[in-house]
Amino acid sequence: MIEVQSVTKKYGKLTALEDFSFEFGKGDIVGFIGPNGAGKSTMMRIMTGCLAPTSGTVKINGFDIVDDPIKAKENIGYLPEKPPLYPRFTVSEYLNTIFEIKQIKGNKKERVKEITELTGLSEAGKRRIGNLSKGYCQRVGLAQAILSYPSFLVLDEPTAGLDPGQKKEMLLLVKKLSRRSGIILSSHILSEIDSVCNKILMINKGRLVSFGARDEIGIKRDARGQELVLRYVISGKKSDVVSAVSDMSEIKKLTASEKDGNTECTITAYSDIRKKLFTRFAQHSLPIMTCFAVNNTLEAAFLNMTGEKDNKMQK
Amino acid sequence: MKAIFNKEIKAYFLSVHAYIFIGVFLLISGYYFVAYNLMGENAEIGNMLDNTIVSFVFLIPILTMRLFADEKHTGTSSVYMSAPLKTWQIVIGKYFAACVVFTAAVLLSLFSGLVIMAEGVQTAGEIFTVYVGYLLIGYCFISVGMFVSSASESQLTAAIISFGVCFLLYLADWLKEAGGGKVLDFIADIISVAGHYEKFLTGVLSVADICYFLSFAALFVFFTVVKTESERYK
Repeated sequence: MIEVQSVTKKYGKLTALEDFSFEFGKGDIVGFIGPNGAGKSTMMRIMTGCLAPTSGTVKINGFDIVDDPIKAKENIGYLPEKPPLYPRFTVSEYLNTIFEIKQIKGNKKERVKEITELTGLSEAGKRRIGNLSKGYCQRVGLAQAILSYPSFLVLDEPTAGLDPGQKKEMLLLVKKLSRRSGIILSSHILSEIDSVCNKILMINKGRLVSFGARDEIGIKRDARGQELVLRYVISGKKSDVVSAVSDMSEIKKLTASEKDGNTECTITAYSDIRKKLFTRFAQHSLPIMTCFAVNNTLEAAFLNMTGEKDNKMQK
Repeated sequence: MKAIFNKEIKAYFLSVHAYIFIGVFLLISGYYFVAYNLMGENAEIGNMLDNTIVSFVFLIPILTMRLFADEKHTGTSSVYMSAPLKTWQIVIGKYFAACVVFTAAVLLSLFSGLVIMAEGVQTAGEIFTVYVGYLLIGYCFISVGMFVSSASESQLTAAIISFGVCFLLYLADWLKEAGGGKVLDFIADIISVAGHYEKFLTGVLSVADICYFLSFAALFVFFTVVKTESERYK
């Protein structure tokens, strides 16, 4: 379990993180999203012991990263935004060196072989890191992070700069690794996070905006009182549909159109009224053919929660 | 500590740093040996060594500039910062690696000393003593260079500042000779690393001076540990 409690980090007068708390365990893949400069990398550097928080604590499997750094760091693997590679080393020389630096116990040769196979680096073992492509460099970076089979992996934008094929491979690998470790990964590409993560952690201007299971994000009303937009396709006449829900005070706006005996309607509600609507339509014998929440996409939630939408509109 | 030491030794010999250092050092010491001892018919190896101390001023920064500054610049510092290692283990590992490369260069120049010994002018003990002092001076300069590297963000800055600081340490002896008053003399005496070599040159293994060199190096190693640890709190 990684427990981040009330972490605040100040760089002089600038507050990079303020009262930041969250926790996750093994098997979780946490997507860490937020605009540039929101404090994602700072948070990750604090979690891995590269930086110390100004106040607050980070515990890795119960070990405090500041008070008990050796034991805490044994449980963590870190891939920074720019992979920490020694360009003059060959891949196998590099991984052998990392094995020693991380004080990993066990058979070095076997472990390096396992990890190079897992990350698809078997054929690149004797190549110099300085001559590798960006995709391979990223894999070597990931290999060093997972070399100790840590309980937790902190991956700062692991897919940055990769082509679509490499991105897919990297995400598949991340998913595979989640069987063994708890993973937190940051990315700007929300669809990637959406495809692999089961939890979403949103940050904006150093503050936690939202943390929860992927499915809850977007449905959950945020502090700024954003409405939920629902789209229904109902088998029935438009007039019946409108009259069935006309007395519901939770509905802010309703637009409907009839086509081939079906009514397509968009309902803007002040709260999550899906259960209520289900019952109401059932009572009026109006079968729901399709229902989805329009602003349940991660993009919508992200823009909404970080306030980017408003800024863009004003521009 | 051993892991960092091994990594640094490997990094030295995979890059040009170690080769430039050893090559230029041997060239300079070889030149002085030929010019002073062979051509100048001077039988004391100490004279050659004493004259080559000035080369530390520009050679040792080559050795130490990359130790921390390069890792911070390229972002590889996260490897050791996030590894289950204590900060002093990281610093000592790097320091010993630089000292070993330096020692290797000095041992290669020992050939000159063996020639003098074969001629029967100086005894093995005398040659051993001058070389011990010589090595200790180098270790002091390395500790200073490493500290400067830990406080710099780029290799070039580290090299230039180390050069300046080492030059000051070297010139301190001259400051004393210039006679600038009691306070200035006192300061010059403390920072004059080369000035503490005099007894070694006469063949005396001075315990006081050995203590001075070791404390001087330990102080800057300590400063480096503090500086590296403070990186987490910046």
